[in-house]
Amino acid sequence: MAKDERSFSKQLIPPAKVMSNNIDCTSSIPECGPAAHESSSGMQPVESIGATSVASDVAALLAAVGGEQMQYIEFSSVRRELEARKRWPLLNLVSKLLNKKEMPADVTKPVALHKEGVTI
Amino acid sequence: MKFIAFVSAKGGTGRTTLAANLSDILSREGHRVLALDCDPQNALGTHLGMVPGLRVGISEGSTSDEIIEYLSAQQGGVPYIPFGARDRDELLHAESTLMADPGWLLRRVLEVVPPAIELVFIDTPAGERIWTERVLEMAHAVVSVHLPDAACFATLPVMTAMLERRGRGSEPAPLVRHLLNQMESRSKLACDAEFLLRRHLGERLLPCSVPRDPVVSEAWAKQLSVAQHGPTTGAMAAFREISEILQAALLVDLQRNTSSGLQQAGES
Repeated sequence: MAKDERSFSKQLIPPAKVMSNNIDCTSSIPECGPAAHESSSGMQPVESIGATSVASDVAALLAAVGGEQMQYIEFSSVRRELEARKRWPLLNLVSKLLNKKEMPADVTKPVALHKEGVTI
Repeated sequence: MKFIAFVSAKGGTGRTTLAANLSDILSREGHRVLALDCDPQNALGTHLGMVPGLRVGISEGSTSDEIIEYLSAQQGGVPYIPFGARDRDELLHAESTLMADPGWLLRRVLEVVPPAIELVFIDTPAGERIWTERVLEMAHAVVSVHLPDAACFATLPVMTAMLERRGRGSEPAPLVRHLLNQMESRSKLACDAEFLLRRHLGERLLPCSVPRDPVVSEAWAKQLSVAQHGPTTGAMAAFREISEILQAALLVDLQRNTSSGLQQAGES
């Protein structure tokens, strides 16, 4: 549930910030630093992306933002997560442990993250 | 009256400093706030003007009358109840009382805290201790404090398990929010730890991390709050943002309860 909310909020990050795939946290990664990607000042209002009357309608919002872009944003986040976990083995082990606890036992299918077939 | 607990799996994360400074900020804004130390280190009061090593405190060994007298003798600032300086045997005895009588702490708190108090900020010891467990049982909100380092990340499963157990209790589950303290944005490890924490915790991780700032430690050494010693610092800005989130989550609800209670009293 929490992951869905995160993905949803990431759609609203301005593309100029999000498209940077740089893993150096001192430069343009929006997630780094206090309140970076959750800040309301960094978000594009729902109204401005053409979903005024159906803000709660996820399908309409996806259409307005563009499904491919959303997939790219999620892909970018996953890529950064993998880079971080590779860089710090201890953080990787703990992440695995936490993911194991969060994941329901019956979810075994790999998740397609990108239309070109990148899967985890 | 609502209880906000500050917890962490490991020591040195800044629970005490956060409890002291957030209570100070809300008190300055006119809210009726009290700081309560349930950590045997007995350090919370030293942020708020207490002489170190003071005997009187919430732990077994002081009477309720002694605590009430100490509270009434405090002049200005945030009212606070220390843990109380205790030796090893006294601590063991107090812990066995808490084990045997789960309601002891809540009864004690309700006896000594003035009923006009709206929010009680409670400091707890690090890790799984009986004091933390009892505080979690009565807390309306929990702030779990982390540092963006390897040690904190390694102990994250312990803390999440502890909070999940509390969430499964019979009482309404408390509002749980995680907070990253002493964030160092020039450190790659800190940035990666923050990123991964956000991936795992989502909106449960507060959007505002508290930056590492020497003014926080300096303020404590001067027995001043950060609002007094460094009112324009980044740490202070983060404290303000966190206090606004806590207010929005707890005080609005509290006022609603109070007004509906008054309305009911008027109707009857």
